[in-house]
Amino acid sequence: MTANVDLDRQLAWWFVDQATATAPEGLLERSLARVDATGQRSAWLVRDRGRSPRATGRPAMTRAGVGRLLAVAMAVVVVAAGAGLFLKLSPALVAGPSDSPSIAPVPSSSASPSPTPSETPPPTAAPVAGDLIAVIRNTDKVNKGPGWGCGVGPTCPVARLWLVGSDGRDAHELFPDGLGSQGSPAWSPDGTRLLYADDGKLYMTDASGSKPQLVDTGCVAPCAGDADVAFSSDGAHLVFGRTSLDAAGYIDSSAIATMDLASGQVSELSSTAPTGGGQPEWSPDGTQIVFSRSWGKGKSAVFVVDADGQNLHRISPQKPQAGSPGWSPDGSRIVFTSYDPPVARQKEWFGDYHQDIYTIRPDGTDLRQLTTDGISNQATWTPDGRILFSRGTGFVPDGGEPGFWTMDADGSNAARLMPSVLSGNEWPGSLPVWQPAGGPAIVPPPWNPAPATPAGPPPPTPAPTPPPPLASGFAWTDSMPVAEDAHAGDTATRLADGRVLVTRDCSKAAELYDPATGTFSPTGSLTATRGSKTATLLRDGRVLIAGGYDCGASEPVIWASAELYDPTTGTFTLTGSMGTPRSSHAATLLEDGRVLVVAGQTNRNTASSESVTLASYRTAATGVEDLLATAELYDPATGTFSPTGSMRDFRHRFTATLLKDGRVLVVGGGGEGYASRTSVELYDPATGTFSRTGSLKSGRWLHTATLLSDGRVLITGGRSPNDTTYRTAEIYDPGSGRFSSAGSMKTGRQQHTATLLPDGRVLIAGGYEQKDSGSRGQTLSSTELYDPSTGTFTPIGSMGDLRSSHSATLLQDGRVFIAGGSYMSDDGTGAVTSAVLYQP
Amino acid sequence: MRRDLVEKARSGDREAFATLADDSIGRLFNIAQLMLRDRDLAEDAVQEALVLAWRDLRGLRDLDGFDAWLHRILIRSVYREANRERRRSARTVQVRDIASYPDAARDVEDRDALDRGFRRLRPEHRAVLVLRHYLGFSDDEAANVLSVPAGTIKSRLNRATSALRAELEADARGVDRVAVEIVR
Repeated sequence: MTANVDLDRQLAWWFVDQATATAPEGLLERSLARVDATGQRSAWLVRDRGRSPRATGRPAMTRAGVGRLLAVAMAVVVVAAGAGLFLKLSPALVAGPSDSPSIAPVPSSSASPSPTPSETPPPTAAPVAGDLIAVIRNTDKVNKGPGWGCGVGPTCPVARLWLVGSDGRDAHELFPDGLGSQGSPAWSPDGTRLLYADDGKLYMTDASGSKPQLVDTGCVAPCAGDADVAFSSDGAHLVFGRTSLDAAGYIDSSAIATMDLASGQVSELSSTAPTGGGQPEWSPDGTQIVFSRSWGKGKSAVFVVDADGQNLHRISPQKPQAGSPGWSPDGSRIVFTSYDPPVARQKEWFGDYHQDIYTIRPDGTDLRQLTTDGISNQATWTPDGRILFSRGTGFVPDGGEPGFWTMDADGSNAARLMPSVLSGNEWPGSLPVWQPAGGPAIVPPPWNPAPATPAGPPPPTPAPTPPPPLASGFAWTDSMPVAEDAHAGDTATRLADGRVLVTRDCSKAAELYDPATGTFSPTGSLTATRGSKTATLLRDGRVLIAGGYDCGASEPVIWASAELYDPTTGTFTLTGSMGTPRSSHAATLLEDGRVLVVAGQTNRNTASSESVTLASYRTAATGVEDLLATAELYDPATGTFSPTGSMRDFRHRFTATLLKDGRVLVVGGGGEGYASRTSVELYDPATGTFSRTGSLKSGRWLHTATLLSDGRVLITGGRSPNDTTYRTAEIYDPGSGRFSSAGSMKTGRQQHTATLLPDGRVLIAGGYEQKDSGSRGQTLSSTELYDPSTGTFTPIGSMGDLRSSHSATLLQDGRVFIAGGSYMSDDGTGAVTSAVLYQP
Repeated sequence: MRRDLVEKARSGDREAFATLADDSIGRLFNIAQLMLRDRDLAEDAVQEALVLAWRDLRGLRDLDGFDAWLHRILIRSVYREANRERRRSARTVQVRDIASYPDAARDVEDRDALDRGFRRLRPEHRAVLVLRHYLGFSDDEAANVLSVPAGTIKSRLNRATSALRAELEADARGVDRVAVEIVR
């Protein structure tokens, strides 16, 4: 325990070092202001603030639920697009009106019932077209109860639309009643009208804030809302981002939509789904749309698509990440803001991203970086072809000259236009837009929307787009419903009727895949979340689900319980429990119909009380765990587990393969620490004992073992003792009891699949490759075929998505069903929901 | 003296409550920011805790137990913030993937190892480590704040320390965590 004492001391010092002498300035005052504002104390406490919920000025205000969800979602986008300061999503919660240090705002309205916007006199003289910049200021407002548009939380983020003269004068809130939460302002080409989004709806007003009119975009379920709107330069079309809900009511996808104002025709550009919809703008000639969109596992880049949804393509390079694009008035260039993670020492100063402004030609050539300070963002074009941008936006220390700046299109002549319009507790909203003058008038409203019609090619089946090309022989099939907490590690069990039971780690939900229809459908739920469990088809058609760890527990808990899935009723019911809790074990159907459950991890206290071979094994996920060498037999006739012989070596993440003679071959696996085992043991059901057989040439875990047609067993890949993945394969010959080399795959793999095809070949798919122990690896989409007759591996191309810890199941018709899994790459990690079929 | 303040605050004295809050707020903030590793989230948690404390103070029976009670409220607020943050990140990714969420796994390079390891611990583990090693709480005190039996504190502390050590070792080896993460 001395090591622990050292760590304890280290921790104590670190805490002291990290702690601050005092709470942040103003925290007490802000807290007490919230205490007062909440005012939820019992009635006997006479501290009435005289507050009552305000009358709602616009219908949008009364909606919570979906609208609030959307507003938050939009706020996320807005922040990312604006300054990338994620932390400002949860800013200090401030009660009461805020003040701007730089520009005197128009005083907020009093607490008296507020007039509707149309009754509010313009706060300044009627503005001259071409003179105003529309700006969004974000802050948090205290929830004042129902009707306040805040949902149920104590506070909610609110975005307010401000106008400021281009010389910095007369900054004022467009709607001084303080109601609503506006975003994505957009001027009409002639500068007389101002569009904005509020709560997923689009409204039109003018520079005086006269009565906003709802722009009916025909958004009905599953459409959740529209935002990020812009006019075409001829004033005849709108483009906007449209968000849609999934069946469960969660925001599921976003895409670009256009509206022809004369006909009311709304077209959703489905090729841009499911991650399109970021700040679209028309090209000046109206033939194309530029917008930001995620691609390739969460990277953001600038894309261009034809107005009819065809020809979607990325124009900004892979790096830096890019967003907030804008098309220059002359059509020659597109401006965007980069979002690169900052270097460490800059982080505190500049927030989470290092941001600079670039321009690029619409065809993706001639990239030019215009700023290098890392704090320039929110770039838009002025009507005369200069670039308006934010520098710092309120989070830059002294000397940064935060505020709005302009520069020429080539980056020269940068000069500050005005100081920041944000006060300390505000953060920037959607892009500032400079009012044009003298452009064409818009198609006059009212605009009556025709029902939305999908335009352009349908979205690709897999979620990440553009879809990775599929190699010959592969075809996409239905995707699994998203399991929110799903981890790596799927089970897929082919049932007697040909359907496949699919479960995921850490999700109780189970799905049936029907190869006849190519679709997933839900079936009953597991009785518990089980990570690293096993699923084994029994002779009677039921499926035994055994063990696994409890994903929801705050302390690591591994289950001893087991359950049976009955395909006739579609339900899971508990059966007898194992003698020992297990996860990362193996379960193998024996010839007599019983199931052999071997080794795995167990709960620490369980194991230490047993006289079995075990070892303390540390994992990052759950601390110390213990490994088992014991085995048990499940008898479906009695529904009970009973002990059988033990192995010599404890192990987990190994393989157990039923041989043609009825014995079970247990190969490799992880031992103490990160060691990979070379040891191999054979279980003989006749005697109920394990015996040693020939060892692997190379110790491995997370490998595959596949019984070949001739009775031999093919072992491929896995993780080495040196923390790299193997390309090598070995073959076990039950006759000689020996392993021999079986050549090498083209790619090193662990947590891949190896599936015997009807013709005797083996399909190797996906997995995770780590070439050297010092570097991070990559999940794979590649596949190979092993031909036992020649003993060679041949790459056959990509199965589309990156997957490891997925499932691969031979269907009755000879196809292979590859589903789920997880990926880990430079771009992040996540669960894969897509599925593909391979036709040999 | 303090007991008097608590009693006054309990009976609705806003100034007494403010004095108590002023006394505690530095400690509350440090607990929250050490656990959450984020000043803004910590501020949110502290504010929420104080709002809840004021709201529920009338129900406090043991006047001498005010501090533990306040800590208990804070820890719950911290848990909530931690969970809220997780949900928010999920939604961010789902809606429009501008990769606006700083992925802890991605920018590991620029934080020190302890920070990295600590951030990966469960909130419950972080809490017990902060209570023990920052506040110096005994098992009983920590158990009171975390609303668990004293025996659980010992085992949880053990788990937390082991998990942190495993993280540190994995971190030092650079790649092991990758393997383990992808396995689980």
